[in-house]
Amino acid sequence: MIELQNISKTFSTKSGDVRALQNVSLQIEDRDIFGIIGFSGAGKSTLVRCINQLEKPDQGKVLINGQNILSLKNRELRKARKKIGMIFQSFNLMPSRTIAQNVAYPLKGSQLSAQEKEERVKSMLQLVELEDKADARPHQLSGGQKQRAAIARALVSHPDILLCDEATSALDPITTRGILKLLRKVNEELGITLVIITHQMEVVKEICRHAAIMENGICIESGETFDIFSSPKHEVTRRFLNTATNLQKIDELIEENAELTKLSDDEILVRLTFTNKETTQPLLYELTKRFDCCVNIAFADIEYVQGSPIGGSVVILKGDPEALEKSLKFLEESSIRVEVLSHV
Amino acid sequence: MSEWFPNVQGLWSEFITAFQQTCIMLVWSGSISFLGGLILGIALVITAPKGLCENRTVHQILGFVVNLFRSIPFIILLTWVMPVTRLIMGTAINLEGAIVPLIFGTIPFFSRQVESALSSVPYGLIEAARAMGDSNWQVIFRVYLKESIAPLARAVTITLVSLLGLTAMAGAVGSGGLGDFAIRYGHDRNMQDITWLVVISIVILVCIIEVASQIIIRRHTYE
Repeated sequence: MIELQNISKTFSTKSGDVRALQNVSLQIEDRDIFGIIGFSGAGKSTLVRCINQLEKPDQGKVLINGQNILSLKNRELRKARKKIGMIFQSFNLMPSRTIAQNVAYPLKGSQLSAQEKEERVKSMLQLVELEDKADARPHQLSGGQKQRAAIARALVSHPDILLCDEATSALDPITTRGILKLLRKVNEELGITLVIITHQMEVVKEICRHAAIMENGICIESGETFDIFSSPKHEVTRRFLNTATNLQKIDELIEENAELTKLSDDEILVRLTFTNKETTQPLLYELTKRFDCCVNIAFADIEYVQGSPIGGSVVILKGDPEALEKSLKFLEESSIRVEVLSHV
Repeated sequence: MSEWFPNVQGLWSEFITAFQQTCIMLVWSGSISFLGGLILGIALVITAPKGLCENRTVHQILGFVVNLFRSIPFIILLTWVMPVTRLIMGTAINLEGAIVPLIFGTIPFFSRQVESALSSVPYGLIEAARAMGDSNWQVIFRVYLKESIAPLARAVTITLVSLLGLTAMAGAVGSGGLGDFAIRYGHDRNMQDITWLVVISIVILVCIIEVASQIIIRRHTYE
């Protein structure tokens, strides 16, 4: 388990002090996939660097399996770092070395025999499906392949934790999906705890079980990914989610007084959002059948986060006042968040 | 031969001695400056802001010393460091007397070149190496030096060629060498052919240095 307790860090620059981290506390369970999200400059990179001490926090504790790694001596710290792999946005492979040599780099000076090292490198290259690139140099590889090589290098010393610093931010969407799949495999098959830093909502949605949102050096919200997505508590979180969902578009349309939002007397415009993991019933169908309410879907944006539906739809409900009232009540009772956006 | 180079035959053995003296100065002060400049250059890089052993004071002092020695014209430096030369070599004249000022003239120049060569290593590589558990020494040897062989070779070339220029001036303290040879015969006795001989041999020396460095650079450039 990784525990960050009250971490603070201030950088002094020419234009004054920058409070990169303010009293951040997080707990990351073993074998979890934990996402740390935030806009750039939110302090997430600094936070993850506190875990392997590339940055020394001014205050606070970093406990890994109960041991405070801030109190380690240099030599012990370097040993501890071998058990914490790290990958980067810019891959950071050594250009002068072949892929196999890059992957073997963390094993320099280890107790393993030359043959054991070679076998480990080979098995890592197999894991990331780069066996045929062993003798290539980094510049001959595509971005996705470079990140795979970097993952192999990070895992070769059999770490317990893998820190991913914007690992997919320089990659195209398809390559990103491939890397995320590989990361999930690493988590599931090797049982490695993943700490993923990103500004890409899709990444969190795709693989993180837990997540924390950061803004201006403060952790403003954390918890299960599903809960954060379905009922964001903080304004910044909502802003972040808006970049990911379509359902907010209706607000703009209402403002613009678009054709769609011109309702007749017996119509109301409603936004329905999933808040419950177990929601699977055909609710809109029920409305029509039970309350004789006509449902017209204006927008829908539903996707699956950690196997549960997230999102919802914007609908126009049409019917007599009683039917509408009953419909709304029914939806609310089914754990759907109902927002009536406009009616005449 | 005797028509184009009338004086060469009589002065050939003296030319060979001068050539050897130049080579000795080049090799000795070159290799000592290489080590000294490398160490100083590394020190400049690792004490710089965000460096491995960030230390403002040390960085500024080193930078000041380097700039001080770089700003003094070599011919003046020759005289200025004479007491130090005498202390180290026992004499301030002849070939031995020239080595120390040559080193003093070259190290600051080379260390700046090393500094800029090492700075070309992306910060991310340093960070990655540290994250993998490397000590500062390991980062210096495995990353800084290993990843900047090509720019370092370029720095060595520039420095050697400029050092060759300095050795010609060292004739002023009786070091001998090609510069001294060209002045004494080519200039003082107006033997044009001797000047030509010296020019050609220096051009050849520079070419050898350039070609050798090109080979190293090509072998260590990846892209």
